[in-house]
Amino acid sequence: MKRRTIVLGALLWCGAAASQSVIEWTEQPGILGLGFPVPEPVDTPLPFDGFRSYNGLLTRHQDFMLNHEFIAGEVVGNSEAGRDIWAYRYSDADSITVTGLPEPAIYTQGGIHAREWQSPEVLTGIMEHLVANAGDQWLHRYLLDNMNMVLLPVLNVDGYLQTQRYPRQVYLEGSAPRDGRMRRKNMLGVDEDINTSGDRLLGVDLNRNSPPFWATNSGASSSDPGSIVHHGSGPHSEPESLAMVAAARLGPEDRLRMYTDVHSFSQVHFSVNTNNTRRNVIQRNLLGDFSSFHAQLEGGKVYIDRPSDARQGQAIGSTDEFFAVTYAVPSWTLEIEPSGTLSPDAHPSLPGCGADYGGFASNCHDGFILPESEIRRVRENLGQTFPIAYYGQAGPPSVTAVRWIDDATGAVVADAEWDVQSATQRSLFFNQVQPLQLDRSYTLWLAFDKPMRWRNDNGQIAPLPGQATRTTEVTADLLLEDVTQSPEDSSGQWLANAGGAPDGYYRYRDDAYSASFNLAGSPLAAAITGETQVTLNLSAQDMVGQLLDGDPATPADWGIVGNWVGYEDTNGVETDLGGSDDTLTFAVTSAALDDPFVITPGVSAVWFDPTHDGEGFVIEVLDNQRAVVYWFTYDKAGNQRWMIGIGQVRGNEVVFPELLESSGGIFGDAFDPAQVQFSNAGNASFVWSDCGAFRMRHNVDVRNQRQAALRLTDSTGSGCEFDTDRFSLLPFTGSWYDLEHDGEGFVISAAGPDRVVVYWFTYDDAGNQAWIVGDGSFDNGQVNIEQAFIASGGVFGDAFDPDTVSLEPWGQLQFSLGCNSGSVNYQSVLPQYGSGSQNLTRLTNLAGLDCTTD
Amino acid sequence: MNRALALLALALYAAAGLATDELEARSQAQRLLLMTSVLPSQAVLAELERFSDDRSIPLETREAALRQYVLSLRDEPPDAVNWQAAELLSRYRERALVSHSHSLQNAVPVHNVAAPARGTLNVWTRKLERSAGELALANQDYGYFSSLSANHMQVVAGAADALKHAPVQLLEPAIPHLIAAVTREPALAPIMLAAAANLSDPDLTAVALEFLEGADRFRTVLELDGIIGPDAARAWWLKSLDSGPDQAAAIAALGRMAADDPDVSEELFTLMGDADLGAAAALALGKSQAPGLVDRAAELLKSDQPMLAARGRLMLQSHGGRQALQILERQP
Ligand SMILES: [Zn+2]
Repeated sequence: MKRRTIVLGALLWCGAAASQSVIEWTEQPGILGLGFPVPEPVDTPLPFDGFRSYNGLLTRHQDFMLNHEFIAGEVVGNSEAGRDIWAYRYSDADSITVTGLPEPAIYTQGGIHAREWQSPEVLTGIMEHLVANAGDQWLHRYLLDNMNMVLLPVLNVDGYLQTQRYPRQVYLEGSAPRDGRMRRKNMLGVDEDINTSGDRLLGVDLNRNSPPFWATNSGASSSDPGSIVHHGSGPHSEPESLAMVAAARLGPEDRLRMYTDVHSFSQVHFSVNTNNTRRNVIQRNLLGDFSSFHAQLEGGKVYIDRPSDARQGQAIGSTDEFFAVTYAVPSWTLEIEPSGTLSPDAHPSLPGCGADYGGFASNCHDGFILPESEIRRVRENLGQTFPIAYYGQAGPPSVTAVRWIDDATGAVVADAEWDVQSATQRSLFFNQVQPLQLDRSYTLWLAFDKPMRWRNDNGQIAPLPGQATRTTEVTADLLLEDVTQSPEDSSGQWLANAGGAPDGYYRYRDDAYSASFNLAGSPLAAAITGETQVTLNLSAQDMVGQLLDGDPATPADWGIVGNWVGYEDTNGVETDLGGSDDTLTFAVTSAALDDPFVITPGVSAVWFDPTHDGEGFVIEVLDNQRAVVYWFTYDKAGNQRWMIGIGQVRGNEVVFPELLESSGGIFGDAFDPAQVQFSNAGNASFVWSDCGAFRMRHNVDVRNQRQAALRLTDSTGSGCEFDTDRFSLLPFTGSWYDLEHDGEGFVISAAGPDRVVVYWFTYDDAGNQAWIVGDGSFDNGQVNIEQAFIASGGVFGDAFDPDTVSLEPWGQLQFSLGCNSGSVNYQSVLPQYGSGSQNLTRLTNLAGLDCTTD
Repeated sequence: MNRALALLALALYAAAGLATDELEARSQAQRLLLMTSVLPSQAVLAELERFSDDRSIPLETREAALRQYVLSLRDEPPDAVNWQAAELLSRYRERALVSHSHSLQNAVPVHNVAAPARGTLNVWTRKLERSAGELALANQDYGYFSSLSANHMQVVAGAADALKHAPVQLLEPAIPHLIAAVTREPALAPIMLAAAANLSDPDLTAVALEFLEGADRFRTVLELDGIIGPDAARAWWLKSLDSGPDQAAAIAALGRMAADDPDVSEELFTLMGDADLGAAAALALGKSQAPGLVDRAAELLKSDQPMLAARGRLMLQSHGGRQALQILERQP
């Protein structure tokens, strides 16, 4: 029955190991046989199917930092050996969201344990994914604009370099490989030579070095400097730990909403529970979103949440405890794959360690050595997944704007928007031009403060991978007591193209939704007599299933105790769950009204808000649904400022996607058009309620601000059309400039039958913007302005006070205008302007006017 | 903390308090190994089951013995009995636990049994495949290659082992069949590479590179000079700079030549303004310490194109010499 003789010597796997000290990981079977090629770091910054050297990774990070304006790098500390430790902020330059709230922050950290090479690659993978998708005008652009993502790729730089110095060699202590490729700790007291025996076990475990539970548990950390979990001489005794704290301050720390310490291996989230149940639930849901998304990616790898309690006796002095307790944010240790034979088993279908990939698992420390053939997938999949978690912690969704657009005229009949006033307050701007009528068709346009939908490869709306179908549902109903009116069947759609209401998204792809209503014959119509207020009931979830903020007046934020604040449910009660939004009501009438006002050429005029007397707008309506605005105003210091926009006319609205401001011009003969630079200062929208008034919104100064303007000039007759009979000078109005002075110019408007008002948008002698205004007589193409003025002292935006504006005499201007060409002479009383002349060419032809006298 | 976690924590302390009796574990592993060599499979499996629950031996020692046993089995032939034994233990659930090195409240085995048992099966898969490959070559049974599967890492690796160490006279007639096999299943490209390495045949390496992907490809391109000679490799790398999957490996490899080969360092300089590759070229050049490099990097630093200036900076950073660092320090 004996099948063969057995060589008992072969048994001595462990015994043989003890007799050697420094041995190598090998591909072929052996004490440390992997079953796959032993990875060796390569000096390249480019992502490849393998691991980059520290220099390669650093070059990648620095190249990104130097070439993208949305990345800022900072040395947040130095390692034990004095090497720089870098952290990078992935965010736009300001620390304010596009609506004007303080930006939230996340902090993701890698490379605390040297041998876990997966970790710096994954941090770099997050960066690579953000850079590659920065232009998507969707989720990733949203994150860059509205969040401060602090990424620290390699904390334990010295240790990491030591593992790369010895990519194969380790010192075997019993069956545990230490130092060399298996160094975990920092290099305190350690030289770089693995063969010197006195020091190779030394170093501090940087994941046992944090308060508040530092050295509180002798089963979990050790005062023995040779222990693999040596906690060091005191809480945050190590320079690397201090660098971590400094990196968190880049958030800044009071804006943090999430911390992840990226390790390997085990394929789990070791999350930290605190005594704040609400924080724990948010964290669990966040990790659920992370894992269910990741599981749908190419590798199909499932990350299991295995929470621990941050409490005396259980806690170990790790960094995730520090962040969970100190900053009260979701905080966890991500253990990258392979799976790790946990008990109870997190992955019953996986063998664990290197065997997950078909390897030999000769020593389960091979889980720290991901095969080169796997790292690209791991890096890319986790690089895609982290932004999903960031998106969740960016905050619950909130309705930001609602519009009703009359389909027949394209006019905005109702315009509601939540304008940020402070970090804790939004105010509702509400402008209903006319009540909704029962027998008209309207488009309801809803905008949210974040991109709300995922699209599949065919461009169709689909749940975010891993999320339930219900997360794609939307309710936008009109309510009057017990009567509910939904939009017309299948008219609802998310908007994937730019352009704003009614057909485009607001700021990011799929941040807006539109639906059609016609109330004729509806039960709701039957319930309305005269003018009645009807409630709009809105319900939707963002991509990770977070419900709407039930009360946008109080912006949702992460509270200092560790849960959402200002995040209300349907009844206005603060929760972490949100609800539906029924904060908006609109007037509906049973009467039949005239069509709403739509823009006519006669809108071309000078306009001003009476509470902003001293600044204003020149509007020029051109052909082909275009319009120009000149905004003459001030900067925050009371200096003159002007902006110009070219807009699109839509019904009663003009949309200016960009307001341009200029710099670099010099007044007079020194003017050099090549020195003039135009830059984008913001955007604006103007909505006319009738021929004599508009409400305008601008986002120039961080947040939405508004003005309600009336006419300063009027040359209309009936129907808001130009009265060209009475105002025979009208054909000469418009914008004029000298071809050799491209970058400054004159705008001439009719102020009366034989009077004009002229704005000269120019510069002072120091290259600052300046504008000069004057009114004067018009006679057969000859304009004479006896007294022009230059203004100062106004303050941009809501802080404007008419009383601080002062006018100073500037001098005289004389124009001689034909239909298409002319000239100007000027004599300023201010020495820095002096006198001179320009040859003029017409720049704009106003719609509805035709000049034929030339 | 919930009750289950409390119990788990207690169990962990208990486990930590027990030391493995190494001698006992080794003697039990020897006994199991001997038993496996003489008993029929049913009896072997029954004994392994019995031993797993033998409370007369402390749990931790028992599992240490099982671990040593599955590791030692690797040196035995993968016959049916051994295979079934390893397979049985690949489903074993360890019960002697210690806390995970990242989380006190999560446990891992003191002695892994199941994962190394699975690893033992993988070792055998590789050995069996190597034997099968060697036999096929000896018998000129080339149908073996046309039916080879790429589903298991160790199947491909085992076949590659056979080809890498085969006598040249057996290998050469197999080459057309290898090419056919790799054409059918590109994931088998590593076997072609093994044959090319064995024969030191540049043409065959080139054929393998038509199919190789991922990590194998990167490593091969990076070390191409050792396979096809420095001149041929240099030509290959230069050709690969323009496009394709080998740009990163080619730049890293060319960097090693840049110090002594002005044409190569010029080629790398031309990449400096490339959005994707420029940083790689900057690192390769900087590391190369090529003559005149610091001056040229300092020139780039003054460029009015921000990307070129950035690459000059990266070059100086990766150069790391005193002069380079001084130039960087003088930068704003
Ligand atoms: Zn770790």
